[in-house]
Amino acid sequence: MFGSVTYTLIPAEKRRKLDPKSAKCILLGYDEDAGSKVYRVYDQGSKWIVCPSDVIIDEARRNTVSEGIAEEDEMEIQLPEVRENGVAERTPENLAEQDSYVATRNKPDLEGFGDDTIIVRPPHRDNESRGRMVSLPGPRHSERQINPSQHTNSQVPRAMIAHLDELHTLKEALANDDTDNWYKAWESEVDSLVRNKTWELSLLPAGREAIGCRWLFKLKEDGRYKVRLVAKGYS
Amino acid sequence: METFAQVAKFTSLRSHLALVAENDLEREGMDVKTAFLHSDLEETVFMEIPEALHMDMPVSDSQKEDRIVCRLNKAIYGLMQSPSTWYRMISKLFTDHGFRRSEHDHSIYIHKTFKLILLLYVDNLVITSPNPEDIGWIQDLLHTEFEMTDLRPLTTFLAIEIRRSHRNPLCIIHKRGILK
Repeated sequence: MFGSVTYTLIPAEKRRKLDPKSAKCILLGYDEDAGSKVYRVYDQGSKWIVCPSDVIIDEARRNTVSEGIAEEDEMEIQLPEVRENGVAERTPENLAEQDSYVATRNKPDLEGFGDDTIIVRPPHRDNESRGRMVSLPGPRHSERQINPSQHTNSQVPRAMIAHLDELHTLKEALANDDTDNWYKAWESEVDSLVRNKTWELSLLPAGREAIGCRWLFKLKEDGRYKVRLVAKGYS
Repeated sequence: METFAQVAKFTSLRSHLALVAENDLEREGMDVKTAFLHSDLEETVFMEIPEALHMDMPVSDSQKEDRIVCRLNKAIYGLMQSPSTWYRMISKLFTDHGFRRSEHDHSIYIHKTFKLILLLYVDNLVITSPNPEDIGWIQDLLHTEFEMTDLRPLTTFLAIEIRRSHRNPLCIIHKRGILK
């Protein structure tokens, strides 16, 4: 299971008599190219991702890591910088996360984990915790637990809400601050529809259905206002 | 019903731009305005009258109960078949005017007599040639057929920024806004 502590056999030719026979790693998954018998693990000591076939997986012990590691495609795992005293540096960037994890070195019950072990505690539920730390899913829980904090939500500026790049109804667009721009864009679309003789009026024959349509309002990245009439599919 | 529409492969775009850089070719970008509305719909499709448009037609007394709707002539946006209808239409236009469609990428058109290469991506078009006159010819042709927007000089195509230095005829391409 992803995140499990894994002991990888060190080949006999790479170790001497009294060296450890295995290296402690974090299980990342399987090597798809080589088949399911080959594991992909992150070796904390050498900081390499390796694909051994001889491993012992300790499902009970999981190493929790920060959100970044959960992206399986990323081959590089970034561990927070740890100071000599073992406390994560309180830079403005990680200030928000300071309550969420404690970095330890050689903590007794984690003996053998290697020097860079980072223990991530689940984020607190109170408003203080603004860190977006995520604890890895346990067995049979495939969904990541993201801890939404009310604090963040309340900080979304109102202006942002009013400035969505897509409006859903004509009314909404014409009630918007940019009425003139939207109106011009809408007129231009109507003009195109008329000039191209897009349709003819007709009576709906018995047994036929008419599909719906709606106006789509889009603010382009370059600041242009675009209105488009879009039919709702066709059956 | 045909719903598949061909678009240029990214490899084609890259090789296209490499060719431009290597040979210092002329290059124009063009954009067909409301492209789909230029192509005739083959099927009969009825659509509700769009919101806020007031349209009416005279009806006899016996038809009073019937609903007035739009019978579509053109491949409007949102219909499943619109992209392919548009593609077949513009593709035919190019082949009718002496272009040969590449066998490797059906969105690349090469002219037999003029020195022109076209790369089509739905309603976006990149035109490449060593001769500005040849580019002018195809631009005029497209302007008579459609309402076109010229994007000169071509600086972005499919969110890729294309820059060109004149001292050193080289295209610098990089993707923009990936993180958005």
